[in-house]
Amino acid sequence: MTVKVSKPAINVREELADLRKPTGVAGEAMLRADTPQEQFNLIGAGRRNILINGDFQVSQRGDFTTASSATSNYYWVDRWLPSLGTVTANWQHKTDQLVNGIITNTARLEATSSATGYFQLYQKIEGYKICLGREVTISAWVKSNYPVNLYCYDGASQIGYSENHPADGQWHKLTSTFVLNSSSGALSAYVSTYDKASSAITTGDYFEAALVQLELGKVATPFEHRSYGEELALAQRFYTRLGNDDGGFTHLMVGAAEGATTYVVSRSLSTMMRAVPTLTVGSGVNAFTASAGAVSVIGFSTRCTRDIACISTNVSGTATIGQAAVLYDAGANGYIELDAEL
Amino acid sequence: MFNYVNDNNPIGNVVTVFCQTHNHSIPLDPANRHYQEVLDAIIADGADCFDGDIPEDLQAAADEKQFNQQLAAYRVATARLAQYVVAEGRNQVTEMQPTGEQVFNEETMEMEDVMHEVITVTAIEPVEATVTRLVYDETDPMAEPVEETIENPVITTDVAERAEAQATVDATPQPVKDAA
Repeated sequence: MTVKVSKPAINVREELADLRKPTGVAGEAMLRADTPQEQFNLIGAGRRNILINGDFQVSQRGDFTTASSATSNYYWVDRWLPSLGTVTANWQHKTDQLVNGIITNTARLEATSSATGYFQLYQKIEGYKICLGREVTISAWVKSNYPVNLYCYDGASQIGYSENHPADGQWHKLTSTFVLNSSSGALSAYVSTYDKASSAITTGDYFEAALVQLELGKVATPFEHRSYGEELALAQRFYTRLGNDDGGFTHLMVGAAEGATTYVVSRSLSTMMRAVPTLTVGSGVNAFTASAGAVSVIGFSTRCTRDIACISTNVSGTATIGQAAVLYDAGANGYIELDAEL
Repeated sequence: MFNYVNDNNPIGNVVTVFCQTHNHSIPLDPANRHYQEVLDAIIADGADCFDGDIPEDLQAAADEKQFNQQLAAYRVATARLAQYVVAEGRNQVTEMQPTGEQVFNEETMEMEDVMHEVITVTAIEPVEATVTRLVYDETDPMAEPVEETIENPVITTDVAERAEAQATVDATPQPVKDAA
């Protein structure tokens, strides 16, 4: 039996013309991707920045907008620390700077002495294990008069040095891609004058960093902007400051007099902290009960958990046991700090 | 300077460490960085860092941390010493390994592995004992450079690293070595 099949005629010229779509290199790569996951990775979709406060929005520890003497390895704007080798430096948190057409905050370090040494800004990363054995890219916009670079520290050595900044006083994007050893025991991201060794630093040498990002993959994608509230919540896992330190008599924590000179006060935290935090009560915090009135905090010890701030305080005066008690912001340094940093 | 605090509250006692230098109240949580700094201070300074006697549980935690640090350093040092000496090179080592095939042995009436010789450690030639370099006179740029023969820097580095590793091994207490 013979079967006769008929198909509509096609115009070969039109079919060939369709193949000449205006597809760029990136588009071709998307078309060649075998899986949605590969396409996801190509465009850097999803949450990307492993760093917290990479655009220096959050500064719970205070106002550093005026340049002042930096303390080495002391937490500064949230999650960031300066590290100074031999030289001294000023730190400054600059707000609303124009970087590559974006209004953002920056962090600036400027040497205030001359020596062979280094100054650098770094962040320790809690969830580094997601990067083990994988390609990681660090990027940042940097303005400097010194050939600074980016690199990472894996707990044993410095890795993934970027190219040096041209030291022309202009903003440049530095990037570096490396593979984190699968046995690494830590990961920290650095903006630094250190380039495999200390070098000659002169007073006035500086760098200013903005939009710092560490991400999986071999491409430095555009900076992932997160809202202030989101960055604050992420930062509060490591550090929380209670009170505005404005002497506004705000009740910081409430509780009861469990002894004549012992008040135990507490407060629920908005974010579960990384570890049970270290507690500091500022010198401007006072206590109050109806029976003893306003009294000074003489001593304190932590009863915190990761999600509840709780303090046992020794106070002056004599309170009636069982009465309600508060700690409040009575003046300068009227705050309570909870520190669970790495 | 630290001191131990037992807050002796009616609803129960909580024990913490107070840092007088920084006005911190530190919880006894191993994940807390200040707690780890307390242990480091006890390891480094002993009783000098504490106001009063060091409590037994803190001393035990510090001892355990020091033990683990020494164990890690000992393992790194012994691994470094196990590497070949670059000035001497390394001999090739071979061993007989089964190929995966088997043949029937008519004398024993059993199947036997077919063996072949496999290089398990490749040979490495010793590096040159010395290297020659040109030294220029910094005060006279027009002067001809002078040849200078020095110990091969690769050997110098190897010797220094081995000496450092040996010093670590020598300083390691026997209980730590036994645990390695």
